[in-house]
Amino acid sequence: MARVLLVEDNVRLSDLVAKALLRVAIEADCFTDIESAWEAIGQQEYAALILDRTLPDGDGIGLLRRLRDGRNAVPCLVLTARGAVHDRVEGLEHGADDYLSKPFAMEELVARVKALIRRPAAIRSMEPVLGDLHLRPEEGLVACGGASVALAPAELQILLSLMQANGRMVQRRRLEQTAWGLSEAVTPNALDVAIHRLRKKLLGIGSRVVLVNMRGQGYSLLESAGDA
Amino acid sequence: MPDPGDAQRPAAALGRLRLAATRAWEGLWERLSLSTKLIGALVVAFAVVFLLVHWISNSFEDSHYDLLSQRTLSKAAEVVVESIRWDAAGRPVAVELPPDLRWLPAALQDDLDFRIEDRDGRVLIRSPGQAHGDAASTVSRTEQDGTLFRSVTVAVGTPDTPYTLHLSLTDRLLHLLRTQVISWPTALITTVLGLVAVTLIVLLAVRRLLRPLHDASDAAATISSENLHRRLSTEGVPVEIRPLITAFNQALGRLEHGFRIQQEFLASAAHELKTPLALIRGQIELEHDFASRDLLLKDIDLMARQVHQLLHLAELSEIQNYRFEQVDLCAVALDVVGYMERKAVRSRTSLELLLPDLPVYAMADASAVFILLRNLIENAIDHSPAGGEVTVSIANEALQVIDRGPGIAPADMPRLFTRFWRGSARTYEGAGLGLSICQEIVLAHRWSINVRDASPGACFTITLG
Repeated sequence: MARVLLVEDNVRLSDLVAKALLRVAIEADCFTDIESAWEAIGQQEYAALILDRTLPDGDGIGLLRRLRDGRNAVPCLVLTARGAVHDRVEGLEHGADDYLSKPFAMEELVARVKALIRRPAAIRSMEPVLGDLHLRPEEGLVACGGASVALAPAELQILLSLMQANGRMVQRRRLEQTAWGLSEAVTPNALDVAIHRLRKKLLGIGSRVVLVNMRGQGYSLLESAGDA
Repeated sequence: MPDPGDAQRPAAALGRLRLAATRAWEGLWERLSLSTKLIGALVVAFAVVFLLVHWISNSFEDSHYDLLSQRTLSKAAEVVVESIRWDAAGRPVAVELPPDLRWLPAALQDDLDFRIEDRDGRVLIRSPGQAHGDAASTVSRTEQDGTLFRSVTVAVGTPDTPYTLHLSLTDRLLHLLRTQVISWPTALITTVLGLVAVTLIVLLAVRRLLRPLHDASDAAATISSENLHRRLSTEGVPVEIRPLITAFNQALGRLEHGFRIQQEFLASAAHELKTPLALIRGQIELEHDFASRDLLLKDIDLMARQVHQLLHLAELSEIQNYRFEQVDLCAVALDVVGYMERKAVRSRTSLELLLPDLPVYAMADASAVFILLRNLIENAIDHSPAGGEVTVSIANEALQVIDRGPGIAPADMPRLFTRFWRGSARTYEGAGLGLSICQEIVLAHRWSINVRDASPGACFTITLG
């Protein structure tokens, strides 16, 4: 049984989330503040972290930053009530693997958490190559030349589908299905988040391959024209 | 019958004229620079001082003519007394005037003379000229052959060997001496040169003095909503100007504080409102079956959307919340259309995106433009009939969102962007804030938005720049 860490200061809400997760055999350890969550992480390994932003002892992002600084790559879903104009982009800049706005549908939260803790090993053991990109699903990372970057499970699934399509467009709904397994449970936000992160990561490792939105209907991977 | 107002007319006209003149003067005075004002004040001060000195000296000379003459006479006597040479017995033997004055007694025989007498009135030494004046008094005026003389008699020598010095000068010589002291051209040239020097000094001083203020205003001009944390330096600023800079910095501090408070308020308001909604939603979702479950979930989502839109409106009404940069509007449009695709499919509407061959760059806030296009497209989908088409087109001058819905009734046009206003048809559920948010975003970018009936449907156009 997978075990996740839930940091949410509203006890009733965290009870509900824990109950919903338990139905799909995910056990949640609930904490209401950053410090006790930090201690718990030191003692136990978690498959994923569900983190509220507004906590009594600070912004949940602070805990995430501490983890990332300590080279802890535990997949993290950030819950935010803020939903401010720049949060769509900003929420992803702090090392979160996914984020969900309150109020959320339980079903969607469960789908997102499941995507986060899905083991990369479950993906077919193949190592597709496209342009200068080399995907290594076993290790959960994508490489370009000497540089490589770790991918969250959903990102890995999306990139895998796109690389297999070999430059052809993949429909949004197909990408959502491969990443989250359900066609209707996730909001457009989920794919939006993953695509945004993937683009940043590809840029970060200096790849010439770009993720292109095709007429608003889907995405494809193309080698950027300027360098071709 | 004469109009009683006639008499008042000239007075009123004069009053108006005076008012106009005062206004013109005030307007001129306001436009003048500080340096010009200072120099102007100094010119006036110099002129007043110049006239005052002349007036005073003239009137003083007139009223104290005797006193001044006596002074000059006493001074001349002092010079003579100091020039007396004495022998060993204490008797005066000669008067040796200083070299530069030695020529005087001989040259001015008719106007100047002196003699030294002993106790018995015997003249021991005398000047080349004829003796004048009255020996009896210490200072006297006598007239000889129509010429006025002023004389002075002073005691010299010791009490044992007393002598007297008689000195006489003509009035005309005294007058000549005095008028030579200040001459008009000299005074005028001195004043003008003085003014030029003072003007230069004032100009330089003012420039130096105001430089810190100038620097401070340059620094202040660079402060915008994005760098409110910056403060002006008081280094090198004169003591008199420092309070102004400090006050400005304090005002900036209050502004920054207010901005932060507002941000914190938005964050906590969002948390306080949305967490209970999440709680209620979760609870309803986990309850298995009850009659109005779906309806309640729908209500909660609508309410959440309303809260979300309200917070966005509050946020987007403040220009400080924008982050402007070069943005490819085509890329944003692609993302939005992708984001809205699922909603379009669910509403059985097709989304068409028309893009130019080259990217369209604009100084914009990408997140705000995302919300702008999303709201317009959402609005268009909501008003589209099943099977309808929503067209989004991006061009260099304008962004357009066109639907094939019922269009907008002319009566509704003016209220379209009013907060919480919803169309009379009410066929869809919205917070009535979407278009208000769009308007705020357009205003912040200094773009313009307009809507026209495309019969069928509505066409929203955002004109860039």
